[in-house]
Formats: sequence, C-alpha cells, structure tokens
Amino acid sequence: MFSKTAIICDCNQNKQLCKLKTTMLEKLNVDLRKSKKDINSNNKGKGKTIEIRKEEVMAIRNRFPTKIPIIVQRFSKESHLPQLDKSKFLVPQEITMSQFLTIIRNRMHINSSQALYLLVNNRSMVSLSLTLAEVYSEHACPDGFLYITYASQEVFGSNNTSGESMYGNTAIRIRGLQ
Amino acid sequence: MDTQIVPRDKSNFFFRMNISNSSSSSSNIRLEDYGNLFDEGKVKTRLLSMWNNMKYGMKLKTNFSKESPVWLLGRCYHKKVESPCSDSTELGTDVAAFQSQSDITGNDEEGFEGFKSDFISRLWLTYRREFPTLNGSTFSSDCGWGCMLRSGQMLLAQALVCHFLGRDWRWHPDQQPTTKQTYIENVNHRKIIKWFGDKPSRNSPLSIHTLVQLGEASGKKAGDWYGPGFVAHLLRQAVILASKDNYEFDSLNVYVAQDCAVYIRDVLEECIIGDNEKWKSLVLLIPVRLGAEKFNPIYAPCLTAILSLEQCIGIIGGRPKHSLYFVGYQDDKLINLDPHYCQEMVDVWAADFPLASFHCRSPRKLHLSKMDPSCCIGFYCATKEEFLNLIEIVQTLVVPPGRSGRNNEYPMFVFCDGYKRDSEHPPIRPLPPDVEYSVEGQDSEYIETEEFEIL
Repeated sequence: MFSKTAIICDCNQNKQLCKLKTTMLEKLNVDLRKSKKDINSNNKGKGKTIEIRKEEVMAIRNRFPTKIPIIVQRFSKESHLPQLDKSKFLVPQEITMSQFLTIIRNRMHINSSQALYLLVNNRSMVSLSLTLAEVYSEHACPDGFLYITYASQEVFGSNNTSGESMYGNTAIRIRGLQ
Repeated sequence: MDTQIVPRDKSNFFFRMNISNSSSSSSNIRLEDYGNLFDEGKVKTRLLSMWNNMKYGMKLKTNFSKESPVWLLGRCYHKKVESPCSDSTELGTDVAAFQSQSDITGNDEEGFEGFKSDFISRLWLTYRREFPTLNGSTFSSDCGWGCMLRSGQMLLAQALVCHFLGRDWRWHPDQQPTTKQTYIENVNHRKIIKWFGDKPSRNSPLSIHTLVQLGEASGKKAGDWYGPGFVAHLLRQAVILASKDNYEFDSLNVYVAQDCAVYIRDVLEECIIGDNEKWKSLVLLIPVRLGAEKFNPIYAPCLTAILSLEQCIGIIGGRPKHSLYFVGYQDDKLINLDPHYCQEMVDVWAADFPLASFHCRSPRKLHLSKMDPSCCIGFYCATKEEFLNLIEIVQTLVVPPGRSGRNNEYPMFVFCDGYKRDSEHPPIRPLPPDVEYSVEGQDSEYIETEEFEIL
C-alpha cells in the first residue's frame, strides 16, 4: 500500500535523491488550471486526467525513488519509425541522453543510418554527458512525467510545381508517363 | 530598428539585426531588385550624422533598414561606406563596431556586385525532364519528387567547387577563357557539372540515376520523396562509388554524422591516408532536426552563425514539403537556391554544352520561421587544420543562446573526441523473473510492473 501524499526518500544516504524529491513535489503542487499545450504535438496521458497521472507518478516514485518516470511517444506525424511496444519507462537518473537513445534504438531494431531524434519541448536532445535527471529537472511536466517525443526526418516533395512560374517559363510535369 | 552588438564569442563573424516589422513572406528577388538590398546614397549621410551625434555625446540608434549585410557561405557583402575621420578611437561602441564592419571597403567586390557575382557562380541543379528513364520505372523526369535529391546535389556541387576551383572562383558568363588559368577553370567547371549529368553513366557518378539506385538498397525508389539525412547518406555512397572510376574523387571523403555526433577520431581515420599523412578533403554532413512540428526559433542564430563560416557549404532543407538549398541570409531571411524549376535535360557530354541553365540569377529568400525543422548542415574542410579549426569555432555557435537565469540550451550537434564504436552500449540483458528487485537496484534490471518498463 502506498500513501498518496508521502514520498519516501533516503535523504541521509543520497543528497541527489532529495533534490529529485523536491523537484517532484514542486511539479506536483503546481495548480494546473489551463492545460499545457504540447509543442511536440503529442497526446498527454492518453485520456487520463492529470490527477490520475500525478497519483501514478507518486506511487511509482515511492517504489522506485531513484528512477525517473518517462513517457516516450512517437511524433504524431511520424511514419517511418516504428511504434514502441512500451511507452512508459523508469530510468536510472544517472543514465545519459545518449545512452537512452541507444536503448531506444536497440528496441526499434532500425538501421544505424536511420535517423532518430529525441525531442523534449521542441528541442533536440543532443549532448553526450547530459543525464536524464538534468533533463527531468529542466523539462518535466507538472504531472510528474518527462515526455520525450521521437521522430526521424521529414521527406520533401510536391505534387504540384507551382514555384516554377516565378522563373518565367512554363513547366511540363511528367510523371509516370508511358 | 536597433542594431545589437553580439557578445564577443559570436560576433566576430556577423551582426545580428532586430527588425521590428519585417515582412514575412518569402519573396523572389530578381536581379533588378538587388538595389533594394543595398540602398545607394543614404548610408553616407546616415553615417556622417551618426558620427556627428557621437562626437557631441548623443546616444545614437543606428538604422540599417536596407543596408543590412548579406551573407553567402562565409562571405559578407554590404554597401560600401567611407570610413569617417581617423580620430574616432575614443568614441563609444556603436560607431566603433560599425566602423570595424565598414573597414572592409575598397572596390565594390564587397558589396552589390560582389554578391551578384558570388551568387551567380553557385551551381544550380533543378528538376529536369526528358532524361533517360530511371531504371525500373517509367520516370524520365524528377519533377515533383526529386527536389531533395537536387538540393543534395547542389550541396555536394558546392563542395566540389570549393575543392577544385576554390571558394573565390567566379563564373563570368560573358567572358571566354583567355588565360591558361581561366581555361583550366573552365574545364573543371564543366567537369563538375558533367558529374551530375542526368544519365546512368560512370562518368556521371553523382547523377540522379545513381542516387536513386543507391536509395533502392534502403527501400526507396524513383518517385518517392526523400529526406535530407537520407540524401546525405546517398551522397556519401555516391562519392565512394565515384572514386572507383574517377580518380579525381580519391582526394575527397564524405562523413555523415549519426545522431548529431561527429566522432573526431573516425573522421581523422577516414581522412588521413598513407604513411605520409596525406589528408583527404572532408565533406562533413550533419543531419539534424530542429524541432518537432515547427522549426524552433531558438536555433535561428545558430543557423545564421553557421552560414557565416568560411567552411560552410550550405544547408539542405526547405519549407514543409518544398526542398531548398540554403546558402546565406540577410537579417532573418535565408537566401536559397530553389530546385523547383523543371528544365529540359542538357547533354553535358557534348563539347561546349550551354552552362546557363546550371546557374541561377535570382536569389530567393525564406523567412527563418517558415523553415522545416528537418535539415542537413554541410561543411568542407580542405585541410586537417581547417577541420580542427572548425571544431574549435563551431562548438559555441551550435548552442542556442540561453535565456537569462536558465541553463544552457542543448547544442544542435556535438563533436566527440573518440570513435563511434566505443560509445555504443550493449543492449540491456533481461533478468530471469524470479530475481528480487532491491531499492539500491542495478541498471540492468528489466522487470515489468504496472505497465512501466524499468531500465
């Protein structure tokens, strides 16, 4: 049984734990009247209310105080990369972003030349030594989760070539002729 | 409009201008419009009044409306100004900073005419029609789908121009080669274009035919749409293949960064050959994604800073679904070459084939905010020193300026001192289910609980 409000922390043993706990409590105490726009264009919580998500985080943090709760979602318009079988992760706080990227890569079984970018708050998470704890303290959502979006790259092409008239000549578009 | 003097670690290369009401539409600037970029006559009066203001101690606001400098692949072009009297050293920062910019005076090669000449000299590769049918398809044109391939070709073409002709080379369309040097340059100019000829041939190893064929190994085919990072890998493979039949490519190496990391030792290993440590010139391609749905504007200063570097050969990207080859900027607009113009194929294997369709006379502009977040940045380093120099310069430029009170933002890409193979971690081993989990847990545990995956 886990208390809904208490977060257990071994402050005496690990100062960093305590910092995490403080951050967690700050996030959870934020009163969310207006919903936060997801600039990674993803769904938050899959229909669960923020209260339920907060409770979920508190429960899991009681059991695993040294782990960071992360939700990894595919970019809504992504069509090349596969969906992950799992989207909720508990990750050791000292894991770096690049280590996490390797983990995700391995779970996807994609080619090493296939592009994969991890985005948090519309930013590309590039930094070899950056730990997930640092990202969490910077970018965790008020519900207590850290939301990470993954995407490859967009492809470019058009079914009309309307830009051509600017150069003064008419264009003949040939596609799949004969 | 205010002119901001950027802190020293970034400002050696450029000015950043804040425009209060910039027009946001992408505009097509024709040759006749060049005058709007460089407003004749007003600058001198403005500068003199500025000078007088400073001399009498008034704080001044410089107004650069149409006099903003234009940057094109590491070269700055701005309206020629006469420097004021020499006893200006005791004055404030605004004039002094402006003056240091205007020290690049002399002939108009640094201004209007210089930019024109530089832009026209860039190789322009567009959609083509009526080329030999692409293998395994019915396409004899890439109109509508090949734009990213064409942008990639332009990026590589610029690297080849730097490599064989030099960044300073200019095409003079109306002049015939008269000296030995210009004759050789003409030969090389034509040779480079020939390599991109629209034909499946070993003598056109960088053709759209070759690129499409190389893409088939990864499941792409003619008619598909391509992304910038994918094209970067195709270019790398095409150059490796080209070297088999064309000795000119033996001194060139293309490196594509993975996951925004450039592994320095891998690059050195690829580029340094033989016992005498000969250097293969490096084409460095770094695919990035600068945002999820939309381009994140925090990266805008990084992109303009990069386009101000001498080693930059451009950025391939575009606006959504519309690929462009970015080569420069003015204020908050990116100057680009657009492949979306369908021209008839040119027989580049004929002697003295016409060059005009491979050069563009109208620079186009795109507001930074309209850029698609997916793009690929390119650099060319002729020597090892240039590469090491680039590493040093670029590190600060790729980190977006942080807001006050915040930690640094994350960089667009990083250089790592090491080998890629050393950074790869083995996958986490799953443990048997009867192992008990303890709070001091190990990283390698792998137990399912309440929908969470524990790593």
